[in-house]
Amino acid sequence: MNKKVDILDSNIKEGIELELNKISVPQMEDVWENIEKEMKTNNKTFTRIKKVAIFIGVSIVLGLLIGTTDIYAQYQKVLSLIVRTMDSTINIQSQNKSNTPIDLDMEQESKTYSVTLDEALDKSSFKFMLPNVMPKGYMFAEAIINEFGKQTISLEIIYVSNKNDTINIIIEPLLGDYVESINVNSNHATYEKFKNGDLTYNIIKFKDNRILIIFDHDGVKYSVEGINEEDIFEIIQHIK
Amino acid sequence: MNLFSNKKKNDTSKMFHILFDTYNAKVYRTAFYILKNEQDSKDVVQETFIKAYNKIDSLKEYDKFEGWIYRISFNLAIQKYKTNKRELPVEDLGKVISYIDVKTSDLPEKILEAKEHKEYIAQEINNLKIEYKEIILLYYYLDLSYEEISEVLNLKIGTVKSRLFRAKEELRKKLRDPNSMINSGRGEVL
Repeated sequence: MNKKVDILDSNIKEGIELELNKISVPQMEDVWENIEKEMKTNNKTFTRIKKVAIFIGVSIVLGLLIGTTDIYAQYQKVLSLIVRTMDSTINIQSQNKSNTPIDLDMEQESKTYSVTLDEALDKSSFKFMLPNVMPKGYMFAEAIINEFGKQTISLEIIYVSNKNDTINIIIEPLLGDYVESINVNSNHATYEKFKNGDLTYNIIKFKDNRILIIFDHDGVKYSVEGINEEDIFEIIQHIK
Repeated sequence: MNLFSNKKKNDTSKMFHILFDTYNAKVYRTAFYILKNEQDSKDVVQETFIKAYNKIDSLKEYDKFEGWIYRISFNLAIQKYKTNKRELPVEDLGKVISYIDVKTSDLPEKILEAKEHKEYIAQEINNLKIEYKEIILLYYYLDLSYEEISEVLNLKIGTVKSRLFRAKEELRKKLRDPNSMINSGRGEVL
């Protein structure tokens, strides 16, 4: 939207933003619960909502949000992370300008479907790495591919152990200019950073024992989530 | 193992939750600015997102989601405001009117250079006529285009432009008038 701006315009804009930003926003959990109830009665297709989310640049955080209501993220590209603690919230921010254009044809349909591991490797529009060794007892269970036109937006690979522990690996290409903001409620999770060679691992440990590790390599972001910390560390070491 | 069908259902909810997280604060603040009431404003947030979810198929251009959801929320807040206004006894109306509380010793010249300048502008916006206030909210806070505002207010684009121009002129006059600051209590909520 192109708006001609003069000094009065910018003063009005700043003034009204100041006024409205003074309004504190209450907890919205109850509101969301009611919305979710309504969503269950009117089951919409995933496609349209996903298209909207893709356009506003939030779709590729989907994996990060699995079961983590205290994490909110908005992505375009992650390369470096700045961590700041405010009250009970750990805020992880990053942004990076990229010259890689986003090539998404919005006329295309988005598709989400289940594939085998070989099909995932074959169908994906970007190159990615997989763990070359899995912890003992883990088996490949399912791969889910998200496509938008010819572009693979994300790939989720699920492994299940013989004790029924699950490890999810979400693999996403980093498209276009990237901005990320993750708010982790420190009452429910801790954050730490771990460097190994060229890779920086962002480790979020939840109080319910879940652990999420995020790192990027060669323009691809990996989010590994599961319960067993030892197994997860073993997996990330073998993603090559 | 069929994780896929359950996952798809969950993903819809998670994806919509991201949209909710992204926009609920601004929707709430807009509603509160109009309604001055937390519960009513939360109701507007809820109704806005339910309506958006149910009507998402009618959204033709995906990049217009933000403007679209603000239009829905603004309309719902205005509807609620009108309903509340009908329900409120006349003597209670004063309770929802926002008042200005500025020291009369402050002069605009001084304020212009101070941080309070923006607050002063915000207060003067509160003093504007209802149709000017709403157009300023839509244009400057919700960042809607002339076309989008014309849809919300059911006005021609030319009328939107001229109304915005008049609102700015009115504000410009007020900002030049040192006496305007002492005229507290003239404000009218949207």
